Amino acid sequence: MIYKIKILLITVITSFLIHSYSVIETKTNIKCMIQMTNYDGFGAYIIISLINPEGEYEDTLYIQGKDKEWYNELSYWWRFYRKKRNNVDGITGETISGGERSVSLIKIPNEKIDKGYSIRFESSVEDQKYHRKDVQFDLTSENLNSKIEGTGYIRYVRTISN
Amino acid sequence: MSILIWRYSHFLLALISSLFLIIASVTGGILALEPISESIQQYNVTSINNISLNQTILALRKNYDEIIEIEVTDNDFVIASVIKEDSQLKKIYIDPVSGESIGNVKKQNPFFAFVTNLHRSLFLKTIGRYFVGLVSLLLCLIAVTGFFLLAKRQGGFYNFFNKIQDKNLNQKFHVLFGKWLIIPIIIISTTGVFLSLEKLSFIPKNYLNYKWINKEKKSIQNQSTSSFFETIYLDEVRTLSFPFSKSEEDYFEVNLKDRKLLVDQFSGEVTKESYYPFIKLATRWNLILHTGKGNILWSIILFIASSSILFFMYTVFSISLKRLLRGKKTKEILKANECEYIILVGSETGNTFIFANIFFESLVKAGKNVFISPLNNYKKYNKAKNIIVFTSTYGNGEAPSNAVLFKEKFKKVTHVNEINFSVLGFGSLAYPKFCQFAIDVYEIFNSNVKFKSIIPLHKINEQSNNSFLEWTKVWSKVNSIDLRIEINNSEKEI
Repeated sequence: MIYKIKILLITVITSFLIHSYSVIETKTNIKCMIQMTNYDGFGAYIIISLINPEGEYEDTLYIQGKDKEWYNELSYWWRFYRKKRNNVDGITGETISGGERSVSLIKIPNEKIDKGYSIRFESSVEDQKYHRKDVQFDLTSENLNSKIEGTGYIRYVRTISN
Repeated sequence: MSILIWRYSHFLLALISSLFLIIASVTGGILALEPISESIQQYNVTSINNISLNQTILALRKNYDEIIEIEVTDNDFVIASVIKEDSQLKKIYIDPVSGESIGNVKKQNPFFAFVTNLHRSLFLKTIGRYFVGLVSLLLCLIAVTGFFLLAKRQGGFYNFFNKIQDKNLNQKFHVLFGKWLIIPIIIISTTGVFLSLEKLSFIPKNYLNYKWINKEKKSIQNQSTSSFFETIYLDEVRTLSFPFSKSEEDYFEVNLKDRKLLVDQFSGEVTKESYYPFIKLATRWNLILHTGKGNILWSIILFIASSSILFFMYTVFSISLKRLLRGKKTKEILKANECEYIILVGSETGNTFIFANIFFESLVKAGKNVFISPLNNYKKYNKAKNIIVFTSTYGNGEAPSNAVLFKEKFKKVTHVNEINFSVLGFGSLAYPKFCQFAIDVYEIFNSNVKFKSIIPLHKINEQSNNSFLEWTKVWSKVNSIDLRIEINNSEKEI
């Protein structure tokens, strides 16, 4: 009897452990390089977001630009962000200007890859046009090691996953 | 006449921009402390001028999975962006010899970030930047006009750094600090203008055009060493960006102090090289001069210069207030054409006016019709029998500001009656041309037949009361008027 209880206990504990492990989502690291065009003007604010299959914002992955007073210029993203106002200190970097490039590391939950999600880069420069979809690509394994051309201030984005 | 233009433009410019200038100089003073607070952090463990770039790269490779960038700051700190085992991209200060981390790069202190923002744009975004740029330009003009005033005052550019002769403390310190801080202030303001123009895209950006140095000869080898990186030492480096991937199109991007290079990641050879255009270097120098980055001594000078702007504004305010109060005391009870006694005053600081007023009061008490006015308002006086001139001298024998028009006006006026005149000069023996303007005025009257000198020109050194009383005795004797002079010393010390 005691033996049976032991077995039961062990199975319960292990199943809990297995379950809790599967709840902790595993993430893929993506090294991401943004190369800017030779535009004139201030450093560009760039937001990298995770977009769900319905085309809505799901998460903010990276922010280039530290001055929060400018965040509302990126109006579509701002509508999503201002409700949550998460702490973005860990995923914030410096702005870059025309001709410059920057490298950042973004983390994407594995379960979102190849599931109809996409990655959006939107950009804005003080007193200049706001590009709502400067770069946008489907979140597929193939696209996580590629080069995608931009349509606004971004010339191209390159990605490597590891 | 030209002195009036300098004076009024100096004052008017300062008045218009004073509010913005207060904000800019207070925030500027605070920001000057930032490079100081940065450089007292000791992340410069070794002198970097004998460590090759290659040495640091190899040391970093030993410690970290991947390196994104190496940066050498103006304080000679070495910063590396690396990916650690926990897949986090981190910016850390490193020891360039061992490659080990000696601290995390922190975000800009929120207080300094706040002040920087206020200093750059007054929280008004783009419009604010225009304002700040304009204020810089005004500050520059104020400094230049002040420089010319000072040169005039000191009696020419050669005497610029001579000792200042002034008794009034506010005025003395305004001039004294102005003399020594004019150069830093001109530098702060012109670099500020440049940076505003650059930020607002008025200065064309030149993008680098690379020159190919040699054809790509791919001898793929171990990427651990590069003969080129052996020859570059850390003190020449600004940033080194590592190749994004192992793909052939990715290079090492090296920003040195004077040029930018692409280095092949496989052969380790320089494939492209380009020197920075002049504008890029100029922007950098402007930034360093304006912010004091990487140089404690210059930061301190910038701090003093910024704070001194506040001091200048205070002294100007109190000098102007004083002049305003003294101007009000000038009494014009009777009309000019009804008076027999005309007192004409040439005064820069108002001190001469005090003596003139004392004399005026005692003549009125003696029952005379007296009119008092600045030399600039000289005109025809119908009933005048006696003209008494009280005048100081400005700088190197020039007229004080309320007497500069006198010489011109004198030529245009012809008097019918004969008039007695006397001239009393105020000045300081410390100046080589002691009471020169009073001498000139005396000569002008004396050379006109309608005017008759009743007593010789009298010169008073350093506002001496005794000397003044002496002259009044002589004057009252000659004119047979019983004058009771009351000198109230407290009035002189306003």
